[in-house]
Amino acid sequence: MTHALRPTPALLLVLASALAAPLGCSEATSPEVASPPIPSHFPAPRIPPTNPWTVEKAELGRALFYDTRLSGNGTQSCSSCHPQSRAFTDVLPRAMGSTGEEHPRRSMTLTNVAWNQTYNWANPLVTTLEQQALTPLFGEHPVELGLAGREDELIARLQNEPFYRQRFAAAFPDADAPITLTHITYALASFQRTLVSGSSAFDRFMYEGDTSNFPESARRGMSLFFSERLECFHCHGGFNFSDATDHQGLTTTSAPFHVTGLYNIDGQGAYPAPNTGVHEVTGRPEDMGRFKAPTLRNVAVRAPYMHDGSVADLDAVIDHYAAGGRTIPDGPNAGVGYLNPNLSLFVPGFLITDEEREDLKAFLHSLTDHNFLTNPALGPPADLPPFEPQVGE
Amino acid sequence: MRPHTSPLTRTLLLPPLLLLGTACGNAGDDTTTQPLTLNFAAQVGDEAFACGQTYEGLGTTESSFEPFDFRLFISEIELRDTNGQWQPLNLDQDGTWQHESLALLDFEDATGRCQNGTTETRDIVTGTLPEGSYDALRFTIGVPFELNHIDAATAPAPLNQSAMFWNWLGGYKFMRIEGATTGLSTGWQFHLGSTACEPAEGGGATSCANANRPRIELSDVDFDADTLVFDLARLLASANLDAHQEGTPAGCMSGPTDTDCQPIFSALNLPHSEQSPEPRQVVRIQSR
Repeated sequence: MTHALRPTPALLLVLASALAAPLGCSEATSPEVASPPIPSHFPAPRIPPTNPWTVEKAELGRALFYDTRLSGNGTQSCSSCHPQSRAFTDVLPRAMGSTGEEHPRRSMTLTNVAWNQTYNWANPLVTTLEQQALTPLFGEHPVELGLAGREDELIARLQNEPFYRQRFAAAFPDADAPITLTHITYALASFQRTLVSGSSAFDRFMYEGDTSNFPESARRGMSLFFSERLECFHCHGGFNFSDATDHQGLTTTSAPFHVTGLYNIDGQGAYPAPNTGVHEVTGRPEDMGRFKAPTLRNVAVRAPYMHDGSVADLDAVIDHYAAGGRTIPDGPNAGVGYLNPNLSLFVPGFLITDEEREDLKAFLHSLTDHNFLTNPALGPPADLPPFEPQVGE
Repeated sequence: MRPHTSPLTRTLLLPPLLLLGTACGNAGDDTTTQPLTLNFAAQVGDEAFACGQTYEGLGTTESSFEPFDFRLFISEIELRDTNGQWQPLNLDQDGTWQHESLALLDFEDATGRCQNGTTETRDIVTGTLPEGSYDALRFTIGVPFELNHIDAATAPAPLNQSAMFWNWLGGYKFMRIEGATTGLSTGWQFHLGSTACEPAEGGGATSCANANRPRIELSDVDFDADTLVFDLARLLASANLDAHQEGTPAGCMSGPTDTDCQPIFSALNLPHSEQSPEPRQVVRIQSR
């Protein structure tokens, strides 16, 4: 006995949906998914499916990144605290917002931000660039770009420029009213995913065998960096020299943060408020002093160092790790870092000769990517319309 | 992206929809509903709250106070009927001030030193509930957890007002009250919100150790004739507005270790700094 195939509603639905695709698809072929330019020795970054990367979005984001329209009083853009020449980090030890308020922490480098697992120095809650953009734009404690409560003004400023009307329409062709806060964050994130640094002297040596800018001293320094004696690579390992790195091939999620013994103000591991690391966000005592290990790419042009800019130069950084934690003899932050009870086991301290120190620094300098610091394609667009805030705007 | 529906699938989907009958009201429930408007107001003691005014005698130091801002979210509003049953007020989904069970109240009008505010104000909440008579009310100050940790950039109104974003702590400000005081002439601030939130995989939060959502309950309310008054003088009665703990914000940003928060949290019946709260009548009933 053969069963006739009865047209049940369920079956009809299956058939219908099978038909719906070709019938309802206006494009014969789906466009290739674009990707930001990535060196062949880097894995693909994870990009939120809600904001697929396009050249148009990145170019729009580039204009927005350099535009002082993005601050309440028109005095600052993202680039004010993230200038390209310093690998998109600050010249100031601590950032200064558009209204003159000092940030408790140092601006972070935007080198290879596309691969960050989390954003900010120690915030496990912020996991995408799209989300992160809201903090500098609208944060009030401290005030950075100072747009809290002024999003309509921001939209109006952009709406008033043919330059932006055109670019938003090109970047978001399906939107009826493309100039929105969401799209601003999408564009900024797309531009930041192009801030890719992978052509330092170290990269050319490692991946192309080009030794021209990689002296013997840097080679010896590299061995030290990756040695069990210095332990640097445990937290600053991988292609991006940071263990807080994410990419499409990763099948596990983690969000590592470490206590390096920079402070120990009460003998119990306390860091000076408000910079208590992950603890500031979660309130958990065990998160006191835990901070992210940032990438070390372009580290030589990024002084001063650490979350509060309290370590002046690479020598002082090496001193801090050689001691297994910094000792501050007096003042409000006095304390013995190597006695911090929460100290990471990868900060055991080490002895280092003067020659080894020079070698280690030579290696760290080899991570500088001069093209990244000077490439005009990552700088301000030439046709960015100038901005004068309207009086009484 | 709009989901594409072919004519064929539409035809097939239609019959089941017809079985549902009328799609309004609770299925199988014949209760008729009535509209209700709750009237709110902000005062400083007996004086009406307004931008551009200066108030005297606030807090433990009898400080002066010139407002910069006063906005808050309330949610989960319920009224008690004469049988003692609590009925949720189903808010009108107006696309501006109200979303799901959440409503924004806005007592600043961007005049005077409230220049960073909005010209629009809001002192009512509108909704419907089963027909009947009601004599009590309870509500939450704050954004419900399931709305508090959504992506602020794509959130619907009123959750799209950036002045209420609290991106750093992965949520919203539930209440913001700011002004210049005698001792803190550049500004004193109170921002209430959840703190100590556990990160969720892929963003957002799974829970917050300090939810910081006060519940307010008021009995003997005549909803036709009464206004519900938020009184700043009572909220700040035990706080010192002229000084603040070193290394903390000028005022209180809900920091769990910021002792300046304790007296204000206490008034709202929220625990802080291991102190038991001593609630004050921050919201009172006043006949219109």
